[in-house]
Amino acid sequence: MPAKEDDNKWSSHYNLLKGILNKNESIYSFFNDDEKLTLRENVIAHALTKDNRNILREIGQSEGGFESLKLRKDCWYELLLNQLDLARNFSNQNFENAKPHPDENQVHLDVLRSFGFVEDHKQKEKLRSLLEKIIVNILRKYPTLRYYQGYHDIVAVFIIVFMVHPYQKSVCEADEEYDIELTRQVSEKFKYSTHRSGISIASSVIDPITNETMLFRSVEIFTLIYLRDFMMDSLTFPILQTKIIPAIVKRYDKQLYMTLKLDKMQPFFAIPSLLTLFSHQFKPTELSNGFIYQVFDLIISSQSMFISIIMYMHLILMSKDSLLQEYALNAGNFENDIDLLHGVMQQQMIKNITNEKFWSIVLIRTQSSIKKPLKLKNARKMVDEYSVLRTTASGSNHRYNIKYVQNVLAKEIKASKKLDSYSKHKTKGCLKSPLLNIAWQSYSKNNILFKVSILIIAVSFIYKTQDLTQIGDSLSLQHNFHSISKEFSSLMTNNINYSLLKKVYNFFTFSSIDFAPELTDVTLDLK
Amino acid sequence: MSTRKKQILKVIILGDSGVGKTSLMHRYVNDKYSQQYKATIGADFLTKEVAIDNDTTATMQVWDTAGQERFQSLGVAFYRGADCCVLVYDVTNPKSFENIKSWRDEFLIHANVSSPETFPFVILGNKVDTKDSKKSVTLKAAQELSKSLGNIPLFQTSAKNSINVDSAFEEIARGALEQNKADADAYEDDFNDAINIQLDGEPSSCAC
Repeated sequence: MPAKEDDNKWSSHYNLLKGILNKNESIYSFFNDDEKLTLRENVIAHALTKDNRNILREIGQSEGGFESLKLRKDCWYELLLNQLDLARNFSNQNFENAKPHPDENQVHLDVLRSFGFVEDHKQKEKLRSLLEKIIVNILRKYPTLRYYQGYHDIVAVFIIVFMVHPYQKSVCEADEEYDIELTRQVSEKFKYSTHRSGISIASSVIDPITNETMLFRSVEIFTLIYLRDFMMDSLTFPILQTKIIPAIVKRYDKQLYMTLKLDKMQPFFAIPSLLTLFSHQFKPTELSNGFIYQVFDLIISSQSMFISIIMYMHLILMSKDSLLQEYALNAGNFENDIDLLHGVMQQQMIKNITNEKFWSIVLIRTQSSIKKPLKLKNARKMVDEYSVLRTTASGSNHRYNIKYVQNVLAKEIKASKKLDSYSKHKTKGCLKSPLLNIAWQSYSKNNILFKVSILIIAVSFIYKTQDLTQIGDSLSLQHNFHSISKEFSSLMTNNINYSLLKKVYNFFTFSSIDFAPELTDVTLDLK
Repeated sequence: MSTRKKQILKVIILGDSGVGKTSLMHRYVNDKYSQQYKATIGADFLTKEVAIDNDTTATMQVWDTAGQERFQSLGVAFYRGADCCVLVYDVTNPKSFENIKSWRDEFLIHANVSSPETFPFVILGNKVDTKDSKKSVTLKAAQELSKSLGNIPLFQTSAKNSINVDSAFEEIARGALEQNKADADAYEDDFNDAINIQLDGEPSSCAC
């Protein structure tokens, strides 16, 4: 078929699909379900061969997402590859002889308990060993990442999408061909293409890409772009993410927020859903058109980790009546309010888990939330500055390079450690004094408050010493100033701007004393 | 016309990842075992009515926690108000046995229990159905540990083959009930003290 004719045919398909996605009554009712699916597949296949990612994103964010398992892996791969440029790190995925990662034992324990829903014993073993291999290789390739229970649930979803034959539900042998012409064409393109967005790997060699390679690369990119926050030393950052849920519930339904006392409680109930992007609750293949795959479609095509947070918000808002009812009913059945809220939310989840209609509405509302963006500006401020929510998976479409992401990762790990050491001090009781507590908190959050308070301490110190100088011990005090200021500078080299430091230093060295103008100066500087 | 609170016995199950906490809970509550339990993330709970004597029952609420260390920070939120703490190890996994003491300490630090010396713990050595050759924690070692920690009741269980699970949970219920009662008494004492102070204070306030 001549190219032009092909394009025309395709563009009419695309317009029809748009009519379907927009629920245009006459078009929507004209086609039956099979025809709608075929139309969608045609448009996806064409978009894949033409590198038309805008259309892929549009479809991925629409009701039904990429719809069938057939083309889903190609869509995910295409989109993810254009979110992170792995460059030279690209081909490397064999880490059998690399240094073991300290979390590998935990990985093994969790892998042993995965794919429980697969009945065929041989298949199950195959899937499990692949799961372990992928996770271990990712951890060895990026040894600063920590494994968390739940990561394996996410990787399991990728494995099903990339490796399980959509019809026979069996694991693909190496590079097994699909029986549909359409899919074959698309897969061919991937197998023999180099990295198609500028940088090519070993450009002269045609590198046949197996399903497993596509799988590994996709998991690798997904991990770095979307899951970093969860893979720090502790749960501190994921907990910060969960706190956005009550904050946005409050904006939409203050009464519900107050009744459930969401202001007083850590939203730990959302941890399993958020950490696993709902894949802990939903086994792949549980709902007919794979609810869980559509969640991932949405996340990948909007490049946003806000999706699961917004979904959880809709889940709460939609369950309002039954939540309030259960909450009142069970008030006497729990030891305290934390248990009550957690219990009620958990029961709500279990109750709705097989309710296909319920989840499809949650998804549709989340999809429309992206189109009319929620005001998430304040929500962003609730997480660390290097969080995926403020960088790589913030909802704006961008392609990052590996160097940038590794740099962000290193900084994020550092910030997380700092915050943890703060809480450790707090629980140890070293920071019982509220003042010290605030000071440390500001320090650990790299806060301007910290810098200002240090300044105030410095100034008050000078006041004090002025009196002392009058007593006549100025020489030794001068000496002290120097050592103290040195300590300050070593403490704050990473946090404080140089001019401020210099000014503090000036305070110390020139204790002769018109410091009021200096102070105004510094305040201005801070602004 | 008092709206009496239903009697709740809150039980927390702790222990390393993969020792069988979830399986034990399901075996006890539903008398079921499945190979399909996934790793627990966060905290789950199940409830079961338990008979206390001929005409009273209480609700036992069993809280199952994630074993991976990073989830401990969540677990502690649920330690509050616990009436009994179950410490589980796997008889085929010596590391999980070595960690029993630190799980207990962690619990005591965060649960804020009224008297740590008398708080009821129960130790379960799970997976005794496995072949002897695979078992690496001896009963003797376990008995020594339970003795050193203040004679904590010890059971060798199998959630898979339903060995000793019911008797272990009978002990757990007994301990929890006692603790629950002790806490209620302590609360009542506090309440009476408060009233006494008020009574004592009254004459003096009249005096001025």
